[in-house]
Amino acid sequence: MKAIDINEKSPWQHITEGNQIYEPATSRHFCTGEWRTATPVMDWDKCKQCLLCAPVCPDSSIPVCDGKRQEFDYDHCKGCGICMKVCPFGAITMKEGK
Amino acid sequence: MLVCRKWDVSIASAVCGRSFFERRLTMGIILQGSRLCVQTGCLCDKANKIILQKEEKYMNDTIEIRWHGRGGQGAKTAALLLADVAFKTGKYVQGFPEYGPERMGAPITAYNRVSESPITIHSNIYDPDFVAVVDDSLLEAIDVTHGLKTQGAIVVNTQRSKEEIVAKLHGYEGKVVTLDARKISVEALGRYYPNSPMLAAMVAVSGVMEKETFLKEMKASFEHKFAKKPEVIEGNMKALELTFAAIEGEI
Amino acid sequence: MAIRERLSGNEAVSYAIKQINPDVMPAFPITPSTEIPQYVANYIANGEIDTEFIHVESEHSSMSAALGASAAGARTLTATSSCGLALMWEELYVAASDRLPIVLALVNRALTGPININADHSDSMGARDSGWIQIYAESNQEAYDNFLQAFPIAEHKDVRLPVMICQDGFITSHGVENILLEEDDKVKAFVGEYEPEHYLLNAKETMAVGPYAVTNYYMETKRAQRQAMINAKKVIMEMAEKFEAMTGRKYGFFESYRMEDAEYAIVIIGSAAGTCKAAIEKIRETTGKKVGMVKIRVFRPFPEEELAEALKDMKAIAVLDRAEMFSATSGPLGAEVRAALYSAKSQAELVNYFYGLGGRDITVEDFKEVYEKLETIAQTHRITDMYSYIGLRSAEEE
Repeated sequence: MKAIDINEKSPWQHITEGNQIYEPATSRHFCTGEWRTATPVMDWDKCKQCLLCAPVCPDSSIPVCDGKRQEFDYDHCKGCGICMKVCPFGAITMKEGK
Repeated sequence: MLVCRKWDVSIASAVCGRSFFERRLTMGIILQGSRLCVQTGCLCDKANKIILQKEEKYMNDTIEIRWHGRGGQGAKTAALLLADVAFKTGKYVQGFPEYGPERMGAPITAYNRVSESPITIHSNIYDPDFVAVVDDSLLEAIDVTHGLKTQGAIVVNTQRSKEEIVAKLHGYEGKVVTLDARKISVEALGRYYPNSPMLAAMVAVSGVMEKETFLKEMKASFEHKFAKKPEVIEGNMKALELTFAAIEGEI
Repeated sequence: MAIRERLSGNEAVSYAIKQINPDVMPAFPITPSTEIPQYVANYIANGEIDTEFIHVESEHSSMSAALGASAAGARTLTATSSCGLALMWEELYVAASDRLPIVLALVNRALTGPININADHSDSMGARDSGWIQIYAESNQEAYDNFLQAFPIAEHKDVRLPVMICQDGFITSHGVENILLEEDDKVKAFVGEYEPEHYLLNAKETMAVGPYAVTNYYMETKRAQRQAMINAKKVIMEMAEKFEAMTGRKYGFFESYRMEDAEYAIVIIGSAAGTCKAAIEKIRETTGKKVGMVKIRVFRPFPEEELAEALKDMKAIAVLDRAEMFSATSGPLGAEVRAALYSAKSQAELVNYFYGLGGRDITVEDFKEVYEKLETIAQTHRITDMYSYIGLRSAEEE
């Protein structure tokens, strides 16, 4: 039984032993971005690609590719605002709502 | 006679090698009340006599022994040693301590059951056939003969006279054997270990096994236990021999 | 041929551990189970087994370490008693709900207040709802035999639950008795190698153990856990049959002693069952009265239907509890046996006794009195004391 196949409609017979999960990266299937009440927004003109924001994101929602950060992963960003705090150039602002 | 049937059980067990229950069912067929059943390592005459006096009792082939000592004197060890040697002669055995405050010097009690058939009882012993008292100062504090059968006997380790000891036994009418385990131990081992002499005395008095068998098993046991200290083996064996000699006239 | 030996209960269980050579044993000492980790540590020091012994600072830690080791894929066990088990409380539930096949050698001892080192079942009975399989022993032989069956039951794919192998503190743990041991190769073949399907140290499979489950999942998870306990009944019997084929010693959920024609029965757990057997023999030989006994071996899962079938036609039954549960009514065994008989619509009279708390001795004579009481109850159909004590001092007539 794959984790993706277990959901809130699954009967007890389909629950794995002790809720064990036998595959990696199942959190990808769970869009925690739905919980977001404030959304970080990039001002790409101010971003110097210093990459201070990427490692502090608790939800790994700032992808980095070829040494450059990309757009937020809004499927998983919970809107905590740590990236906004850590950015020295004011490139990230928080917008109310999704 | 109950006694005979019980002995049959032990033979039947040897023959069938089945569970206690199945034995109970098959024994009648196999031996039909025959009384001639004492297998190797049988009870000696003295024990037979006691067993015959115990006909009314269910576990009528079981000899029950109670040890009184003080924590650290080895009463529990003596009980376990007795269980060991009796086991080696083919018996069913129990050896177990009753713990109180678990402190050096506090009175402790240990018990033995020795039987020709499996023992299921897990209670303490209240009507022992024999009692051993490892420290005579216990006579003041504890009623050591409580429940002790008059056809049984008590062995007391003491340096006092037998009369003095008898006077402290609340009118016990059975056999009283006194032993100066200190003297024997110091002579044989150079130090005071009441264990070995008391064990030998209990074997001699209870007749739970033959003297020769006992000595043979103890020698093997000491040789195993003191493999790295062979000088101790001789001393311990001497303590056993001296004990048998010392109480020969009393039993 | 089995090996004829004489061992204490702690020695017997330790010997079983040596023969099984499990992977990991975290343990913290507590009377009367201390000897078990001592003996195992000796076996390890002598190079007889290569079990990884983990020294921990408490039982909370020993069971925590056991959880980790078991989840990692190691065949894991520990030993404890009394307050040690109580300190494991949180982890006991985790072991069962995470479905980790840990084996615990429990040497039953009274729970503190007042502090007491002797046998009763308050420790394991307190843990009866934790999801562990519980198997109890009457004798050293049974403690050994049960231990050999523990891992095969725990690790079975339809079960995967932790198992508690219980024996009575001091009475069997420190009492030397005759015992038949099985040869090492036979034991190894019986217990087998542990090959977990999923485990944390498997480099080929990523795995998560013990995730958070919200309300939407928790109840289904618990129902699945219940199924493992239901499945355990079948597996326990399979292992008992396999064990009987190897040793000739027969085991089940309980032992029915002289029950074939019995009218009066005692239901009991543990070492006192042996004393009860002696009482039964004595009563039957001297009076011919049809007395019998049911000794519970497997308390979790509880063999409700089988027990009701064995007991339902009795004239009167006494259930003997060696633990209080302070419901102000039954003890734990009393309550469950009564419930089983209710479902079976039995008309048997039933009374519940407390005995042996904190190591209080129970004798052949005590059992005789219980059977006499049962006879009176069956004749009068009048129960004056549904809950009473054996060997209790009282200023009133109990």
